[in-house]
Amino acid sequence: MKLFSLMIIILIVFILGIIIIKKVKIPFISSGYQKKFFFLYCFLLIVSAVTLNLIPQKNFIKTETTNEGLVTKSNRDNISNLISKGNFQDSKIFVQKDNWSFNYSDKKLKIINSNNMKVVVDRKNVDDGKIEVLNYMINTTYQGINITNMTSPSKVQLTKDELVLVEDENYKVNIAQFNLDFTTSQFLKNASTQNNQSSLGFFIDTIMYIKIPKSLEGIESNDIIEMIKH
Amino acid sequence: MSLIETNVFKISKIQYAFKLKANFGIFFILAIVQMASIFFSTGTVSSISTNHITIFGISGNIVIIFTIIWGISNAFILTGKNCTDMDFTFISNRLSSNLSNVAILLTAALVGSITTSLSVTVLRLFYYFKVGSKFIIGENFNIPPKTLLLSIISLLFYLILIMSISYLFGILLLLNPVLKIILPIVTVGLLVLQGLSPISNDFFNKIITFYTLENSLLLFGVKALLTAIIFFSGAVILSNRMGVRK
Repeated sequence: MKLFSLMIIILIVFILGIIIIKKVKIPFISSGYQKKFFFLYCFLLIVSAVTLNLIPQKNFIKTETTNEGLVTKSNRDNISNLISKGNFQDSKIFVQKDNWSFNYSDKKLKIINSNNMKVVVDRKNVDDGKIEVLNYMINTTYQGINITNMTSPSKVQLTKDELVLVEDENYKVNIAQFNLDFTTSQFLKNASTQNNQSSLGFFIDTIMYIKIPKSLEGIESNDIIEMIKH
Repeated sequence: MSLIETNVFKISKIQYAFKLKANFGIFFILAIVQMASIFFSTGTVSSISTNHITIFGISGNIVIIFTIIWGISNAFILTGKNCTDMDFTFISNRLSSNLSNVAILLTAALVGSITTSLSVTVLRLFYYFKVGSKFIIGENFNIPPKTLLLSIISLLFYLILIMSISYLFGILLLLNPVLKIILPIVTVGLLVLQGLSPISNDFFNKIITFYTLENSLLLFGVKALLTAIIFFSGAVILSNRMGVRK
């Protein structure tokens, strides 16, 4: 049906083209000008092809070839277990994106979580008068691209006794993926128009790991928070 | 009786050179068509997105489709009234005229396949300068010479195949003007039938996949060239049956 629709569109475009060519009077362009224009076009194409091959490849987004350290169906269950224990550093599954530190001496703290982020609170063994916030992301691929570092940045603000956690909702990333033309991919065994690694699934989460001083006891939140039990 | 001895290939060669010069406009149109199709390709072809991230799929398929349409129109231009009338200014016969036309079409196919394959590099450069390398997936961005050559050869075979079919259609239209009405109706009718009937759908799919699912370039080339030879031969045989200037 898709092929049928495509062929109908091509046929309609072709018939319309023929009608336009016959009906519309195309202004006369001298053959000399036509030649100059065509050869200039060819020259530009050659320059473009040469320039393209001179561009270094190192800065481009690389696609993942292995599943190592990435979220898969099998290790997805293990993630909740690691989060509840606060084991972020030991696993390749988590990537630290940012961290904040605030001096805090009050005994009560209210956590405002605006974007339903996963909040894990860990009480330190010392009373150092500091609240440390560490922002972790789950190492995630999407269509074979590691998008962990492309996700929206988080912000943390401390105002009086309120710790506000915000994620930029307007943040957007557009990525261009070039596919080989159908006439070329037909003859290449490894050519694919879509990366098959989408089977890894989309599983990205922002985790806010908050370390609070030993003496801070009254924790409130507008959302669910998970306390780490030692 | 002329004292100058000549043969059909010599005459075809002279006709080819003259027609190429006279029809150089087709290459000018090719450049315009490809520039327009590159512009159309800069729009989103396909995209997949999550809450924050959108991946745009870009390819040169639109440029190829436009070039194929250009190739079809070339075959019709060469079998059109202006070009067939031009043949009578030469000392020639139907065979030499057809041979020179086929040579023109083969030249057009070669130029079309080279420029199309190179034009996708313009598309890549456009995005590179627009968004920067940090937002482009490296895979398939650079086109190695081997892939470029594969692209040129495969498209050349496709263009020769499609141009041969169009050329036969053009000759059929010359034979009988009534076909100008019948052929488009039959073509559209067959396409509609293909969409509606599973039997005819299967038949057309088999014909199309005979070429499009061939993974070997060599076999595809043999298939395309043999088919093109059959269609061009058919066009030559049919045009030999035509009378004098129509």
